[in-house]
Amino acid sequence: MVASRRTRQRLESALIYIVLIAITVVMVFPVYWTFVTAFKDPRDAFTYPPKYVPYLQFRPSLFAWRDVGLIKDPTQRGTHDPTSILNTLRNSVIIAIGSTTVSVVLGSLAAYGLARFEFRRWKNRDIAFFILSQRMLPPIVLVIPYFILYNRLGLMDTWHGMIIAHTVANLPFVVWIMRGFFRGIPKELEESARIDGCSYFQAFRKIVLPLSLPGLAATSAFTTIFSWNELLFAITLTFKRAQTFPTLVAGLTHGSAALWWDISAMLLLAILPVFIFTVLFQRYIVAGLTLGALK
Amino acid sequence: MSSSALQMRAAWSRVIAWVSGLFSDRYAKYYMVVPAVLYLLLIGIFPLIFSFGLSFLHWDVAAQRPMSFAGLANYAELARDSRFARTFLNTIFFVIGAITLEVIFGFGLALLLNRNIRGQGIFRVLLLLPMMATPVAVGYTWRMLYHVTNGPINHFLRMLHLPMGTWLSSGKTALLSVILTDVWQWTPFVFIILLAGLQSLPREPFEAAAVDGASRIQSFFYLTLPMIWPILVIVILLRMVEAIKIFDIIFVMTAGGPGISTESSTMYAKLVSLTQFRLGYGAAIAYVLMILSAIVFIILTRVLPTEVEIE
Repeated sequence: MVASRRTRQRLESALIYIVLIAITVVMVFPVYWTFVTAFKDPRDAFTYPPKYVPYLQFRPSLFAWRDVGLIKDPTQRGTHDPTSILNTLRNSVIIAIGSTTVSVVLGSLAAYGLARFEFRRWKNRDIAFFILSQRMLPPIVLVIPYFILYNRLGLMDTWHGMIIAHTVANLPFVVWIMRGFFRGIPKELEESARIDGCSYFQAFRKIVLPLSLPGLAATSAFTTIFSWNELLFAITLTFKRAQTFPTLVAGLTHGSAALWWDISAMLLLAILPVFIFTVLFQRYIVAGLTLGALK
Repeated sequence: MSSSALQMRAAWSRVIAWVSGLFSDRYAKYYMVVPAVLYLLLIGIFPLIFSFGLSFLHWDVAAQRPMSFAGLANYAELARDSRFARTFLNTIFFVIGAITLEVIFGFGLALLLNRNIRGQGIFRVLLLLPMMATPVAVGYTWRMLYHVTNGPINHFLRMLHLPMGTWLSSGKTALLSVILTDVWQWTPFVFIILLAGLQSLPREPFEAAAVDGASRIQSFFYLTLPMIWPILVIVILLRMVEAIKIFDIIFVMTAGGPGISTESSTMYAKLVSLTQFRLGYGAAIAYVLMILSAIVFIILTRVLPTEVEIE
């Protein structure tokens, strides 16, 4: 009886570790595949059978990085123009930072207002849900009117046009997340500042903001990633001057003759900053993904 | 003369008092909330109304016909449009299929791994990466993996002597393949949240049930499930809101093909309005999607707690 229970426990923990390893492989393999493909010579990429292990099955090569022009090499003429990659990367960074700045400034103020004060005519809850609803609606409903209005207003293919568009999704996110954060800060701190003669805005700036820096940082990381990753607005509202990096990559192929090593190299460029942010802010990511409803 | 100057001065100081009164702390809360609300009214609600109006117009830019009032014609056309029906079904099938699988896998794994495991921290980060990864990158990566002749997935299947899949190359399997990619990306989300939920459940009821001789299955159905239910509902609704919007990974993986077998309604609305420039009809398609997600959102507002604190 005792022995059978022990064997059962052993079997169970063995099963658990097998499942863990399986999940890890399934989660990591796609990223691994992109990674190795970015360092393959065209001879080794997309062969049958596929080559999985560097050094053993294929010699890692910087061919793709030279081909996209990010590593200069006089002997190899690149297929892609590195300036378009660098320009779109720059556009993506500017749009992400711009949208993050606008949404964090407007959003954290609104979040504080909703967290600390009572609104009578429209209840706080209703205002909060109105704001949240703007993130929930399918973006295609906005994309069509934006397309028309942007053409008229000269916002087409501009940084500020994209910043305006991404802020519609980012601002509600900031409000919703920061509201939860501000509620967690004890009211007494601001009240003592008020007694010392601070206005509400001063109390917010001097007391509350410094205390919520970790929350603000995590929220900013989130809005930056959202903007960096976003495709639908970017692909309809930008095409050249303000074109974003995902848009460039998405437009590379729809035929079968895809240069997979080059694409993989660019995919790594897209994913890398996101992964760094994710590792840095992992504690907050889940709260962000559930809008703070669940930890 | 001087009296009128005095009057002027008095009036002026009243204006100044009124203006500085506007900046008094009493109104601080409005100055905090109003900018964000105004922004969303202008950039969110106004285009939404614009779009609604648009859906009642014939506005066919490519045909160079003048804009005209359509009444419900666009919506009537929707009802007859078999391509719209297909994309709508694709979207619904995507939403239901992906979320069902994500909940089954995510919940199953959460139940299995609801105990102390070494290396949890690293495991957690690994699980977070797919959801944050750029969708364009996810789409391309899976296109490589699914490749019928040279992709690793079929190579694995072949090594295991299993039948190989047609994946994205056949209209019969493409939508399922896209769903599986979404499952790869979002199962961790369901898993992490349900695991946290399970770990926050009180211990005593389970201990009491075990003392009373309840089986594992019984304690699952009578204790675990009812207690985790509210969290499960929120997770499902949040996933639905996002899944209804599906565009990017499909756009990169199949561009809607083969044929229109993976085309989502967002893609179709984009095609109609921004490629064929039938703006009114495109807006009508978008609005159907909008109503669908509004329903989900309204349910969500009923269950989403508003009084939560983070950390």
